[in-house]
Amino acid sequence: MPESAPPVAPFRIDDELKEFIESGVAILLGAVDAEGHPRVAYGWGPRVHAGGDRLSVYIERARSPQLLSAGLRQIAVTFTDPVSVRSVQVKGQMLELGEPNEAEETWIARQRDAMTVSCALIGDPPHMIRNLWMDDTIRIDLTVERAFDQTPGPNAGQPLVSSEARAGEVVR
Amino acid sequence: MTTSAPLEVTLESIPSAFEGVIPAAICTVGADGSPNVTYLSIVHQVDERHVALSRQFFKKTDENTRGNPLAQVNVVDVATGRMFNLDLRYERTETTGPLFERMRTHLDAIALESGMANVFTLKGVDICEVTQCSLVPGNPPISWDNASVAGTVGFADLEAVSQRISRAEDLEELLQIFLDACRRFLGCEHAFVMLTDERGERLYTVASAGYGDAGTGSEIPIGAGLIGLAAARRQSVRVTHMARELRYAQATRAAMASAEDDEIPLPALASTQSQLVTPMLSRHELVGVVVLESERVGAFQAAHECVIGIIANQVATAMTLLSADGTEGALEPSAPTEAPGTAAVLVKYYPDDESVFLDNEYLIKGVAGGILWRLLRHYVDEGREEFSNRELRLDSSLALPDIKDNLEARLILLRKRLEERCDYLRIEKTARGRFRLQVSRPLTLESAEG
Repeated sequence: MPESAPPVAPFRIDDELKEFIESGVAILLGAVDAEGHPRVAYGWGPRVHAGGDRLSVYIERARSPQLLSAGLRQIAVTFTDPVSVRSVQVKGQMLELGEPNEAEETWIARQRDAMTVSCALIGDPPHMIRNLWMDDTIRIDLTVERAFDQTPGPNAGQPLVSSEARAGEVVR
Repeated sequence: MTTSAPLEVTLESIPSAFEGVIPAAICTVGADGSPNVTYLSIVHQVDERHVALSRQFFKKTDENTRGNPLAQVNVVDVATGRMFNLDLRYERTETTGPLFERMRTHLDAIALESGMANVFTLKGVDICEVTQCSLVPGNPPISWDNASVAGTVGFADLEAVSQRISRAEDLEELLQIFLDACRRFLGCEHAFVMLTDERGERLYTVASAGYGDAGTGSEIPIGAGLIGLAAARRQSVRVTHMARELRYAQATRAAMASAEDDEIPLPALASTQSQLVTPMLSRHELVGVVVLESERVGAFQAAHECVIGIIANQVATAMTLLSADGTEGALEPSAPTEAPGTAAVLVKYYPDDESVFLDNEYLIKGVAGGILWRLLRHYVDEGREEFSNRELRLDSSLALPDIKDNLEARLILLRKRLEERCDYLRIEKTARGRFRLQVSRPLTLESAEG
């Protein structure tokens, strides 16, 4: 299978999407190890960096040995609002791993609380949601290259186009 | 061909991980080597080494599994909070067969319930070999004793219910045994039974537990909504997280047609999170459905569905046998019941839909309405209070079909509606196949046909 052509312009996360990503949504991370095995893990506390071309997300060290040992290169992160079920997948390249500082841990806790509230709105018992996470996290920094609409429905899987690109030239 | 090593964790040991209370996550690999990660609505355990995944909207996931058969799925066992990673190898896609139909009915039922028919088109069911199932390290922070959810039913209990069913004297006793079993075996406090009407077109509620007096006599067309679809397809539908599933379907309950004035709403909880609808079948015929509800997520599990399915079919068979048994007991003497000196009640009857109104308040319609009208005519014209099921069966004006005799169910329904709506009309069973009409106020009968 030939390599697919790179997108004309890398995707950039705009303010609206940044607000969505940082609003306490549920997060899944996907990676592929050196043998080609897909690996999945829960992610927490996403932060979109200025310019919308980089992203940080945290995973639990204890729960993600397969993903961490996968020799992270390409990474997929899917953000889903439990209430509206709006879902966006961002794909990019691994930059580095890092230890979260105190401010980051506070940020993660706030986002987890927001997600718990969203889940409670649709009837999830809080203790059931609380069991989804552990405290010892590690930060993954990645580039933002492509994004896809992942909301269930006929448009699921469609590439998203940066608002910057939409305002100027037509991409593709 | 299965050549993989033994699984670290057997699939049979983690049944509640496949209940979908916490949605499963799946990661696949694209042709360009990039990962693709999303949620899955259904992961169904097929056997000890296979699971089935629903194929709906996941275009990328679908493309990926065709190019690269490997996938990893993460499931959460809600009973313990533990997570498991399942390494999968895609084998084949099924577009027909019992498993496909079961998953299709589930998705269609959710879509219908949210007023969005034909949105979820199940394209296929992907059967995947589980090459490994491993516990994700790390203990859940909260130990959650969920024993009430994961309760099991012993064979001795099942046999005891089976014997009670076989000894039931009449339909009402039979339905009570059924509802008692739902409560005892599943801890389910909210359940109702709907029976198929004489034409096989509608379901009507004949017995309920946990809803007070609400809902008796409510009707829905077979095929409508989640309950109607389970009946039409003769398949159980089990929902473990109604709010999430309806959200997933972008639910808009408001889009459903509003009820007419003379329609009785179905029994309902304020916030149903778990629902199990099981058809009652006898000789391939749909006799009715039993509906179990809970406000707790994950209240009904696969094992519960099996147990209720067994009991439902036995109840259905017993109902068929009871209908065929036309014997009647000896008549007890009766005394006049009408109290003198009270104001007359206006009973109005509309032959078009056989609806009956008491002092302009809707009471009942259909076959039960027709039965009541005839009983009241006999009472007013001839002073009769004693009746038999047999004479109603032979009353050609009631047009009860020979094939499906719902008379006893209609009488139960009528009796319950009278108890709910007034205090001066009662139907009291006096012997097997016999009953008495008790009237404690004078009646004025008026038929809309003039």
